[in-house]
Amino acid sequence: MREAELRASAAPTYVAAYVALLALSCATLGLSFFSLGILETVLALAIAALKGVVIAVFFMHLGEQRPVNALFLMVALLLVVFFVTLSAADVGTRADRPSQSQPRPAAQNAPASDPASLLTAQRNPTAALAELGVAAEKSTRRGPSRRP
Amino acid sequence: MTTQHVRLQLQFESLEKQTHAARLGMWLFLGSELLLFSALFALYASYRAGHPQTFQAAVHHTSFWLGASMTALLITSSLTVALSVDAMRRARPRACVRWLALSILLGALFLVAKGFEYADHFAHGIFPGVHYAYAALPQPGAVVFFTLYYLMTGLHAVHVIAGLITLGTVAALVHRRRYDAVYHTPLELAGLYWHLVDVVWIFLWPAFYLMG
Repeated sequence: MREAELRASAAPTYVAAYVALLALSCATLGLSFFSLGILETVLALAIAALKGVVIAVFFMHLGEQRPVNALFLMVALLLVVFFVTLSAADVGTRADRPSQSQPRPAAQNAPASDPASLLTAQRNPTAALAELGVAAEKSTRRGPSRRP
Repeated sequence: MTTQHVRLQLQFESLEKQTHAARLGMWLFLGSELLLFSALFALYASYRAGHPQTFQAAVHHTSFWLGASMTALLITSSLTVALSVDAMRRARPRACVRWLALSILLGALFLVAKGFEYADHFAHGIFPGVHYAYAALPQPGAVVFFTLYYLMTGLHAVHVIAGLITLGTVAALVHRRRYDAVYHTPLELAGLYWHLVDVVWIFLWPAFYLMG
């Protein structure tokens, strides 16, 4: 135990990592005050990813452990990236994606009843009644929800 | 180097391999937790792609300062957990327990802040799903935003509670001198779990509080 007690503390490294995390958090905060569109999303995600790397390497000791631990983490992260980006790209590139969500007068009392219709939110308020009639049919179908 | 605290299991050739196996198992579990939250983040990304303006508007209706405070609380608690492991490595169990107690306090403060936040939302009629009644943002995209908000921050809060229980249990065992500088694997694993909870919040924070 003697040698353990004489071991140098890693506290300075941890505090440095902590300061870096706070600085990156301030950067994310500052970023939110500018409207940069898609760039803001990309930058916010990049800063968050960098903070995650700092935590993984310094606080979770990923660098000290055997490399297979990092491999497990990277595979999980890769799958996460695929899942999130492909799901968003699917919805984001649909032809009937509205640029602005309007309040639907007929649907205001039960707004979240049909998730499929929310993904391709209807823009036309006069079609709201017809859409509510179609909604029951939509939720039982397995195919794409777009009308030809 | 021997210690009376660790029991080398029959199936492992050495303590180093046993410790590595424990850590790898924990990383595997953390990977599965990442995938759990990734399903919800995929939902968020998909609905945001479908309702970009509404999501941006809805972000302004969450508390900016509470969000920033909660982030600061969790990042600080990650530091104190790392310092507790450092203290244990240097055979200082009393300091380890003190750092763990501070971590638990910070995590509890996080939950208190979240409670205030939820109460404020309820007072404005912001409820999940069909119970949503927020007049300032009636769009269906806003309903989805806040339903996702409750789902994701709620699941995260459950993980924070589990993390606090784990840290508390480990702190009690450290206090009873169950571990030493050579063997304190449960403490390390509890720390890994807590850091994951922090990393998940680091991605929740811009999604629901900043990207507006």
